[in-house]
Amino acid sequence: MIITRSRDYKTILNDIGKFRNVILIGCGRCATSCRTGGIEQIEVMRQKLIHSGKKIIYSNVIEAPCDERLVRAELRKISFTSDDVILSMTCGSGTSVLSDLSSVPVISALDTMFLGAIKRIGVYEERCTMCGDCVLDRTMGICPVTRCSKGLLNGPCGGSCNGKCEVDQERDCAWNLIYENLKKFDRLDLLEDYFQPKNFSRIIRPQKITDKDGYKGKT
Amino acid sequence: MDIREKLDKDKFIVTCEITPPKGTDILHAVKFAEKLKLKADAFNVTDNQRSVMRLSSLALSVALKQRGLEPIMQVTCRDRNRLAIQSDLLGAKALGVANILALTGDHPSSGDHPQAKPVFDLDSVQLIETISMLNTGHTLSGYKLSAPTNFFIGAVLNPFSSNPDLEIIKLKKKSEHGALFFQTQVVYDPAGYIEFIKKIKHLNLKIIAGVMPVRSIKMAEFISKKIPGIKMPESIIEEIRSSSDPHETGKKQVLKIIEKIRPYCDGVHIISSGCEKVIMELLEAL
Repeated sequence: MIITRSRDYKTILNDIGKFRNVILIGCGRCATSCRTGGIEQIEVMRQKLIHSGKKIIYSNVIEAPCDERLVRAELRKISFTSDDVILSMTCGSGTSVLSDLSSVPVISALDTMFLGAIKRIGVYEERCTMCGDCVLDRTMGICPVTRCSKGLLNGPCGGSCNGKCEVDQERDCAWNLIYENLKKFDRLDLLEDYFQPKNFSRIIRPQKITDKDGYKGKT
Repeated sequence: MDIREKLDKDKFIVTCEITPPKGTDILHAVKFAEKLKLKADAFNVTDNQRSVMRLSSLALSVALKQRGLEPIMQVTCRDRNRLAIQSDLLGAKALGVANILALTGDHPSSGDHPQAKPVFDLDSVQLIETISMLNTGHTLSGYKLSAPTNFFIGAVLNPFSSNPDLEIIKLKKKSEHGALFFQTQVVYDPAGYIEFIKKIKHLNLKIIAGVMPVRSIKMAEFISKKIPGIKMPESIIEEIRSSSDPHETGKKQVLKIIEKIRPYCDGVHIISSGCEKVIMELLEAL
């Protein structure tokens, strides 16, 4: 799940600036699940913008605004003028796709935070950094790249204390979690392995993957 | 004789910590080290300690070296990627720095530039491996250097880790990848220290125990409550609280701690957190 957070309304309004007409586009998947770009949030935004003197000429939640095929079909339904702007209530990927295909400017209503888990309604935790070089098989499914504040691969730093992280005493030390999990499954031997420095050439940005050619990064 | 030779010959060494200035005037730090020259074997030069930006560890280490003092250049993983670290290490070697203390480094969020991007391209074990590679005449990626370095590699360990198993696993990795001496987290609990050192005796490591005199009740409470990984027994705090001269009491506490742990270490490392007077006095008393 891509976790997003609503940007400050004043900032959004400032970004809309001189444009009179606003087209609101939400996301039926991630942003709906974390309640930042679903039907309800679009409606709240619509009311606020009307109150601020803007005209909402179109609004809809696209099932997956990161899918160009769906976005292209959606944008065909709208006849744009030079007074229009699209306010994207989707993650950065959705906003980019909208921007690639739209003939009018696109403004983002959300900040894209991380790839994470929904713990319960309103509580999200980061779980994956998308580093392209997974180590979860060696750490019993707990990612040190993501859940250690420093992304350390060979054990905790000196700031780990009573199972908590030096950055925030409320935050678990990833290496302590890994240790406890490995101990539970009698696999502490895995901790003795040396982890090589990460190979960042695997994720030279922007990345592209095609079914036909396979992965394009260097390995 | 440098600290590598002294440790090899089982000579007890004393090192002190020198913090580079937040500015360009290095004279004060250099003069202070010169005053301690006869008593201290080497000087640890910190690398943006506690994530507070200061003059580089490399620059002050070289300045000390040029005045005939022996620096231990601290290198953290927080601010530089593998290219920058190796490049600085080659520079350090070319300018006469022989000892490196490899650390992870604190997270920038606790420092004076909390907005900074934390680098941590390498971790401390990988940093030690990197320095070992340079010592074999190769870059971390395996390319040949025109000449090998010959760094004496140090690392840190915490005898009071809340997870000693994990601490031992990591320090074994550090040792296997080339760390030859270990500086410890500051010791206030000699019994706890000795218990831990006995557990790792079979690893035959050169251990320099950290000490830091407490100078006020405020400082004692700050250390015991705010610094993760330091174990301060209640008795230390109480002694300081009831003392009419906390500065003197703190110094005596450290001397007593050193006396107790001396058979279980190869040297001590004195951290003063800004108070030069107490370092002088401790060195005189040792």
